[in-house]
Amino acid sequence: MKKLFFVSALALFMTSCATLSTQVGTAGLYTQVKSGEGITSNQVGTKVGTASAVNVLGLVATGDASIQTAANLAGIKKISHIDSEKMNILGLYSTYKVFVYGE
Amino acid sequence: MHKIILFIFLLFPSFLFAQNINNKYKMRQTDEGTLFFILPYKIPSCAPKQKELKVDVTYLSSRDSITINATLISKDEITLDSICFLYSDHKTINKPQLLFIQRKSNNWIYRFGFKLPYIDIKRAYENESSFKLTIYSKQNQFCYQFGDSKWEKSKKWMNQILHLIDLNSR
Repeated sequence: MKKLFFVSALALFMTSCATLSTQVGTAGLYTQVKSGEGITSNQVGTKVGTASAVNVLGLVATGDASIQTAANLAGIKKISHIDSEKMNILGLYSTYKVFVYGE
Repeated sequence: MHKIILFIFLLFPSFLFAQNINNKYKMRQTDEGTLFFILPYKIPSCAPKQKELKVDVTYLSSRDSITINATLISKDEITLDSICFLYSDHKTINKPQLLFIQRKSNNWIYRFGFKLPYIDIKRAYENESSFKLTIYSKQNQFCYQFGDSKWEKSKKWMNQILHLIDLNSR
């Protein structure tokens, strides 16, 4: 009975944990996926800006991973394309990073 | 015993990242050559109460300089004046190019960029002791430098990236 309760509690806890969905699905154990978020007709730029957000234990999620912030940090005025990177360890810690390229 | 196994299991990803420089840089082909972007990292302050300087580095193979974008956090409002990059006896003085100023909580956040010759960053990271970055404002000066242990770690991964840059620039 105790075991059943523990497994149920763990399952309930894990449903709201720090997992991230990716283009190749959601992984509970370990995730590290890079993907493209968007592209424009502008020429591939020589400036790169990045911004990130983090989730700890599915309880605290903070950060500013907006495209606007990443572009501002590198002084990008014309965006050529946007990449992202999602990382998750055991559903306990996850990060989302956005990379903005442009001029 | 179970606790030890669990501890090692949870600690494993940190070892994985510590050895992997792929998480520290991005490489992309552009019309102007190969673009390298070294992800943001922190340079500790020389003054105990001052916050670290967060920097990222961009290098384009067709140019002989790197661009460093930095975020400085100050308690007081300042007017940025110049940046001094010092390693061994070599000194480079630059004018910062201001990107933006923000106000967050009780701090002033200054985001600016400056350029350094590629050879300077390469030689600085070959050095035994850390380079020193001093940012002068009209009101104050801010000094940043790695401590010995952090310098050794930083040097290790940065030199691997710089080696990759050299190989790709041939």
